[in-house]
Order: sequence, then structure tokens, then C-alpha cells
Amino acid sequence: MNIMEIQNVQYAYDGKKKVLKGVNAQMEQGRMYAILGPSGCGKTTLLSLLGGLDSPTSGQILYQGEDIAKTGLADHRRSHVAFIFQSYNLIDYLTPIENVALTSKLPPLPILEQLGLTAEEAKRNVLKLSGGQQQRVAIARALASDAQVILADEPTGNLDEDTAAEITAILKDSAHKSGKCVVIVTHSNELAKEADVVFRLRKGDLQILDTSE
Amino acid sequence: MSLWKRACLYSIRKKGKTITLLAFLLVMATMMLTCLSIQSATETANANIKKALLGYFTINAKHLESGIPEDAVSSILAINSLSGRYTLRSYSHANYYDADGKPLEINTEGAAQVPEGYENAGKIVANSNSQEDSYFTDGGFVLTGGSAVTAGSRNEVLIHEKFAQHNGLAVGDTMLLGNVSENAHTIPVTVAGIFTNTKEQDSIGIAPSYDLYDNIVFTDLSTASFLLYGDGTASSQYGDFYVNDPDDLDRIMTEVQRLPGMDWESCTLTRYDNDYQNAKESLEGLRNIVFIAIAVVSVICFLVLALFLTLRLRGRVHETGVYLAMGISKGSVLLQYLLEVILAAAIALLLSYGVSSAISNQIGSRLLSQVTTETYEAVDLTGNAESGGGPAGDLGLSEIIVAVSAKDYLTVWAFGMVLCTASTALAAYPVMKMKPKSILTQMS
Repeated sequence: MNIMEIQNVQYAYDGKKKVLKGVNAQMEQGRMYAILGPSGCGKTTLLSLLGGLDSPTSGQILYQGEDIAKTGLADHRRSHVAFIFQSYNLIDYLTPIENVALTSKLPPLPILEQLGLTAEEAKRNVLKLSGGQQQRVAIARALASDAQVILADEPTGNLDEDTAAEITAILKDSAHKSGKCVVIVTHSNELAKEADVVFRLRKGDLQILDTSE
Repeated sequence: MSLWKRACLYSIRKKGKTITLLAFLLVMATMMLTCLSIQSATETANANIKKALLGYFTINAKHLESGIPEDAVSSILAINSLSGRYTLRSYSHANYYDADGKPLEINTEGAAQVPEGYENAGKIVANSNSQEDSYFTDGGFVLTGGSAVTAGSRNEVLIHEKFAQHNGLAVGDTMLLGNVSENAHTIPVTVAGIFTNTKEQDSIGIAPSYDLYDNIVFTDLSTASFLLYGDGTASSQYGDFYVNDPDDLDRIMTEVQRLPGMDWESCTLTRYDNDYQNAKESLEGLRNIVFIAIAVVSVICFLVLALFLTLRLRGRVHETGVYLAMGISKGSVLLQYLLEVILAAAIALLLSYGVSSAISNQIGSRLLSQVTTETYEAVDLTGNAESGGGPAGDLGLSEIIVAVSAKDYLTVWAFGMVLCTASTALAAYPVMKMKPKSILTQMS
């Protein structure tokens, strides 16, 4: 069953510059999707629309068949989706445990330990962690939120090759083992190769690519 | 995680920012509290001056025989804001005799002259209430024995201590008052009280014998009337009416002038509040300075705090975007920021009590002391019949302590909370009106 559906979505900056020209797509639980495309083609905008950070100029974004504009964008962000950003976007005055606890009612430490952080690291200030560790905290925060859709914007963009591979594996596991719908916006073909479905956004249109491409 | 916890964690972990805000709020709260304390002390000083320098007006009947009508007195007393203190008085002269009709001896030492026919005479001050007479209210005369002459007194007199001793008179004794022009016309009176003067008479050497303090006799209005006209109808030449608040004097006098039945051709109306006005002028200067200081401090506090918080929140756009992306509502984020400011403000306000108590006492006492000196210079503290009848030498200013009152402290708490809320709302408005995506775009 489709958990998210994009129906003929159009988006224009300031009502003039059209970046999305009638995009359609369906996304299922338990799968990882990658969206590729050149800079400025509207990848992050599309991700924002999926996450309810903005509204399309026309068209609909459906979550489990319901238009998120009607059910409420703030509610959609709070209950259905979780974001992972390239720059991690952790709250700098909180520890990893506290960052995860922002959205989770579950004990954060087991989730962090599962993602490779020690108990001591989980109590440090987040700025004292490495980039890879910070991104793990961001992923832990997304997973702990119990959201069914994880939206990741260049999640490995700031990481070295090995760490990027580890993070990719974690995201893939989140889809395949935890049953999440993971949507990744990326420039990285390496990361895209790991996705179950790869979309290419070009000239405002979204097309499914052969994953072998 | 609750917004309370987020706010507490921010305040604790961002020590530098919290301490800066705390220090800033402490300075603001202290300034405000100090200004309010000085203002309260000024108000107290003003109230004390009002009590000490009574305002009153006097009606003077130009012709003694017509006097001030009794119904006019009743109408005046019915006017709102009159203190209820009043005295009706008239002046005349009388010969003094003992109960057997023998002349009593008056003091002539220090008299410029003893007029013919006044060898045994003195000034008669007829009064509806001797205690309210300016001879007593200005502090010069005090009752040493017996009781005062009141509206209900009949054929009673108050005599000077020296006059009493010289003539062997005591409270309860009888003496006679005689009309100076008709020697045969006398009236027996009882000595109801004995008074003395605590200040030396200024006019010694220039006053005639009958005007010397020792020779003055206070009596009731009906006795004086009987002595002069042969009937007991109380007649008064002057009426002094005291008001609760000297600032109301203008309004009250206007009402008096509009009273029906008063013949202003035969009466004059005079106000006596010069000392109060002079003292008030000295205090007004300080009050104006403090008022301006409060207004300026309020505006500056609001602007500076709003600017401070704007800069602080501009540095937290990233954090705001993250919270919004996680589905935390704008209201919750705004409340968190407000709570952080309020936590700092609460500590600052608690500390400001001690700091302001010390500062306001120092600065306020110095300012008040300066004003007190000016006020005492502006007011004739020697006291005279026209000084408003207040107790000379004490305006109640020396006892004023500039201290932080509970009322002022609560005012500053309320003001502080409103200021913090308004400043936070103003500072957060530009960020809060943005869409989450715009914030995240700004972040990236």
C-alpha cells in the first residue's frame, strides 16, 4: 500500500519561477527511495512538500490516502514524518540523549547504542561528536520519533566515504528491517544505488530511473 | 521533552547568554525599582506636607455687627472635602474684674503704651474652638490646665498663666468681663482653662498693653457678643475653614462663592496655603525628574531588551527551524523563548530587591535631603497666623525613609513580566511569521 502519494504537484517560487511542473509519484513502506537531480532543480523543495514544511502551488500530497494540507501540516510533521539533514541540525545545547528525547517517548539510549554510540558519547554535548556520530544522532532522532516516513536531505553529504556507507546502511535497514519509507534527496550515485527506487527530477518533472543506471 | 525542560536546559547550558541577559535585566529592574521607591517617598513627603501645612480659607465679615451668618457656616461645612475643622472668631477688648468687681491687674511690662481707659483691659479673642485658633495651632500657645473653649461653652474664658498667678485666679474661679466703653456693663465668666506661650512675643516694646500675650483672654462667641451688644447671639467676624487637601482649595473656594445667601459685598474670602504651595513647588521638581526617569527607563528598557532579544533570536533561527521541522508548534517554541527570558527575569527581580534597597536608600535619601532643605527654606517655619496654622519646624520630611515597598516591588514584577513578554513577542515575530521551509532555507 502507498504510504505517500504525490498527485500532480506544482510549485513555483514567489508564484513565478516554476520548479515542479505536475509531479506524480507513489511511495510504499519498507522501501528506500532516492531522488537525484542537478542543483536547484527542486529536490529539496519536493522533500519539503512531502514533509509538510511548505504547501504546493497546486496538486496534493497524500499520506495514507489523506491530503496533508487538510489534516494539517504541523500535525503531519509531528506524527508522520521525520527529517534528516545534511548539516545534522541537532540542537547544540542538548546532549544526544536529549536531542533524541525531543521527539521520542521511548528511552533514547538504546536507540543511540543501536546506532553505534556509547553511553558516554550519548551524554556529551553534540558538538563534541564527530560528523558521523552527529548524523547517527540525527538518524536516531528520526527513528525514535516513530514516524513512518523518513525524509533525508543529503544525509551523507558532509561525511567521508566509510562513514557515508555506514549511514547508508543504517537508512537502508530502517526501510527494510523497521518498515519505514525512507526518501533521500542526494547527489551521490553511490547512495542512490542502494535505493530500491531512484527518481530523477529534471526540468520540473519526476521520472523513475532504472536502479542499475 | 516539555518546553519547560527545553527552556531550563537552554538557560543552564548557555551560561554566558543567560548571565548577560540576567545582568541586563538586573540593571533594568534595579533602575525601575529605585525610581519607583523615590517616587513613593516623594508621594509620602507630599502627603506629610499636606498634613503639616494645612490649607484653609478665611471669611471676613467687614462689619462686626452683621457677622458671618450661621446658615452660611452650615452650608460651607456641607461642602465636600472640607476637613470639618473650623473656627469662628472675633476680636474685641474688655476690662477685667474679680468676682467682687475689683479691677484685676494686667501686665504692662514691655508694653509700648497703656492707652487711657485700658488700664485693666486686654484683648478678647472670642472663638468657637480655641484649639483651632491660630494662636494655638501655630505652636505659640499651649493649654497648661483646664479645657479649651468650644462651640458649646457659655461664659467661659481661658487666661494666661502669668495673669492667673498675678491675680490669684485658678481654673473654676469666677471673674468679670466689662465693656471698655460702658463700664457698668459686665458679664461674669468662669475660668475654664489656663494657657501659656512657648515663644516670646515679637511685638514686645511696640504693642499696646492690651495686646500683650499675658493680657489676652479667650472666650466663647456668645459671651463676646453679650459683652459688646448685650445679647447672647453668637456673632463672628472671621471664619477659618480647613480643607483635607490643599490642592482642593481652589475648587472649594469657588463653591463657597457660589453659595446662595452670601453677601460678598460685606464679606471677603481669602486663601491661606502659601507655605504648602512653596513646599509643593520644591517637591514638584523631584517628582517631575523621577516621573521622566521612569518614563525614559521604561522606554529604553523595552527598546534595548527587544533589540537584545532580536539579536539573540536571530542566532536561533536554525534551532527554530529544527523545532518546526519536528512538528513542535510555533506557540510552543515562542513560549520556550519567553520562559527562558522569564526565568532570567525572575532571578534578576529577586536580586534587584537587595540591590535597589541599598541604592534607592543612598540616592533617594540624598535627593530628598536636598529637596527637604529647599522646602524648609521655602516655608516660613517660624509660624504665624497666615502660615496655614501648621506645626512649625516639622513638615514630616525628616522621618521619610526611601525604601523598596511591597507595592513598588510588585509593580516592577508586573512591569517586568509585561516587558519580557512584549519584547520576546516583538523579537520573535520576524522568525515566527516565516514558513518552516523559509527558515530551513535560511539555515542552509
